[in-house]
Amino acid sequence: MRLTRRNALRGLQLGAGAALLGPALGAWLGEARGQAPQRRRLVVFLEGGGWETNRHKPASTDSNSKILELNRSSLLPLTKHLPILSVIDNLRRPFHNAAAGGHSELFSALSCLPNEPKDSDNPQPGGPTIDSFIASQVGQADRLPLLALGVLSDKGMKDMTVRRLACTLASAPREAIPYIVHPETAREVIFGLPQLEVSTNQPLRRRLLTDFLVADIARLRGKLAGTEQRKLDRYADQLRALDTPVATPSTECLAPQAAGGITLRARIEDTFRHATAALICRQTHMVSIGMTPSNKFLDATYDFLGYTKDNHALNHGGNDPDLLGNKGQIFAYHAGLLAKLCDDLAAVPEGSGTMLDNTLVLWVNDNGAPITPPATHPFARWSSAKPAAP
Amino acid sequence: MVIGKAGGALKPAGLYRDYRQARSLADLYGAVAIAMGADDTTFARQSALPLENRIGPLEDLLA
Repeated sequence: MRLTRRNALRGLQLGAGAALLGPALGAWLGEARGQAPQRRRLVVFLEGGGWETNRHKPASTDSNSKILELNRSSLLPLTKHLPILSVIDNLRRPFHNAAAGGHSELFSALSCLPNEPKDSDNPQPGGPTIDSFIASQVGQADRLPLLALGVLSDKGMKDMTVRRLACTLASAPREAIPYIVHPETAREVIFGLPQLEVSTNQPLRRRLLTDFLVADIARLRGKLAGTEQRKLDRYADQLRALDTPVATPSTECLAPQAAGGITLRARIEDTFRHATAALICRQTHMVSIGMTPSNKFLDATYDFLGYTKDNHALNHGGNDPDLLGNKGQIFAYHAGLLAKLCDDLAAVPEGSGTMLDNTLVLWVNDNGAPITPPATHPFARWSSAKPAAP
Repeated sequence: MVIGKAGGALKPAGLYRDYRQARSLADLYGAVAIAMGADDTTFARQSALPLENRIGPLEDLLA
């Protein structure tokens, strides 16, 4: 008899062992039997350095707020996904406490809580961020309940120290979650495979939770005897059978070909590849991407898009109208990456639809400082100079 | 900005909403929590959001 993952899961008859194996196997069983609702997944993309609101507005809407045209806005690459896209503007921020001279909201951008102490250069989170909370709700059965990937500037990669860790996520008050910023580290965390061992066409094997569960079972086995021990052995055998190519069609779950992470562009695109692959390979339901997050890593220069000034300079603008409000290509580039992620998820069947149908992507502004309170979201601009036309 | 269907929990979109500060970012996250099948009040309680900052999830997003 051929033992497939689905059949193996169906065949598991859990008794006392269910409590031992924890929620992960329970979720697998439910999904395999078609009894559990498809778990949804969330992607949070935190835009460090702030938005230019004029570039994130559609070109025109009708009287019912229906977007008629995205042209001229930085959202244009998302045109294909317009039927499932909402642009949310001008939300009040619960707290006006941008850190470090107003360059970032840090944890507050995703927690809606004040950082502690307020206005410090190195504050602690006041509470959990939304992605960490969602991970605690939907990700407990995943090997990676929360996958936090960050992209830093070239200088940031060199300067990073313990004190300068990139953190804008938190699991609880004073419990910051650092981003994984090295692509090779991300790859190893997600897939457990060094770069050289994987070719672009090699399907990944699903090691995931089975490794952990089997190891746990081995430890527990010594504490059981008789029927319970044999039952546990049977669970272990069936779990080992799950270590087959992933449940999704194997052609869709591929280790991404990493660009090497040397340049800013390579790090950004590696990050999106890894995030997409981790979702498609069902290693996580919660991915959070921090793009030059926090007040410490804003000096990224998008030279591959033709920029000669770094993000920090572009945000301030000073008295140079050519700088201020001139980040359109950067936002469009990011929108294109998000569109690609959505396209890739839409290509993977899931239930009666696709993975994208069970996914929510949230593109969020890291805020920065408004010029005058009350603070709004997205934040408008960093300088009093007039922004350039979109 | 929100993209996706989240298992049908979100309204069909293609919409631009300017809330003119009448709602807060916490309300957006409340809607996200509901769309993900989580209890938005749990996030509000964990994050100890002041009452004035949790009017409720952005109902415009939810199906």
